Amino acid sequence: MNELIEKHAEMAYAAAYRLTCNQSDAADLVQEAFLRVINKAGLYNKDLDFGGWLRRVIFRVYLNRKRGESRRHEVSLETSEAETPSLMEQLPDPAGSPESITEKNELQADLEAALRGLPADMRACVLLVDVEQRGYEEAAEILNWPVGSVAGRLFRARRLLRASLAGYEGEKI
Amino acid sequence: MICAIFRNMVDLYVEGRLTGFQAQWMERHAAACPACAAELAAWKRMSAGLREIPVPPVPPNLKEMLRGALKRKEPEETEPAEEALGVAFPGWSWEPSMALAAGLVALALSSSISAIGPGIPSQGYPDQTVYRAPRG
Repeated sequence: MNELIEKHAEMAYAAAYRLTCNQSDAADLVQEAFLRVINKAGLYNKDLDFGGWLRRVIFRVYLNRKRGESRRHEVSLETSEAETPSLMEQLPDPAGSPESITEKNELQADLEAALRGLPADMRACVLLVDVEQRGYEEAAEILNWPVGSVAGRLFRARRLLRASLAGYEGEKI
Repeated sequence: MICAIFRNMVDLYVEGRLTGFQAQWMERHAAACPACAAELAAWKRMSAGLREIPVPPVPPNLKEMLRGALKRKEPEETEPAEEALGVAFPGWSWEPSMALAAGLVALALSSSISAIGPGIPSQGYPDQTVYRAPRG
């Protein structure tokens, strides 16, 4: 069990954090995913790609939660920027001071903010294909959607991202 | 119009998903149209920026929390139906071919019962059928 946690916790947390944009939600999602995979697959089945199943469960549990939330409350799916500290705010500043943040880091911060503003299903597609560099087929398999659904959501999500960045940065991008 | 086509395909070009002919058309158009060249450069930067989004650091207590949660878990604890989650684990679900075979077996059984004919009250003729001649 310790071996599984040591091996997969970082990957799982990274995926969960990028989806939820929130530390406590990400930790909760990781915990639920671990419990589900271990409950279903036994403590360790040598034939099981534990990391792969963990990733699938993280994405699917997250999207199911979001669907449930939207049915119950009919409010925005996204957490507001004010209540969620930016990923860039939580990362150590490599240059040491806010004044010395490079243009590249600004672009990444803006990209992260724009990603956070996307609907959950679109964000999942962008994270898998554009951030993690997986193929459309693999993303479709993880999300349990047809490839065409992934491609369609990606098309819309990228244009939303592009439009958000045009607003943020003018000519810089 | 041509610029609109270019902008519809620009992300696929940046991804390398266009065919050789399409990619060459995109490059020729970008060379001739400064606005679309700028758009292409912006998409390339956005794509590179997405690839370089940093991995968030794992909270120090996450692994401990996971260990605690997994220790607390009862071995016989049951989970909600996996269909509700859309998560099926390998070897735990029916293949479509098996489902089809089971359906065919059920159909064959039901039709063979029908073929037995009388003896099954709902499907056979009544034991005594009385025909009456019309009076008069």
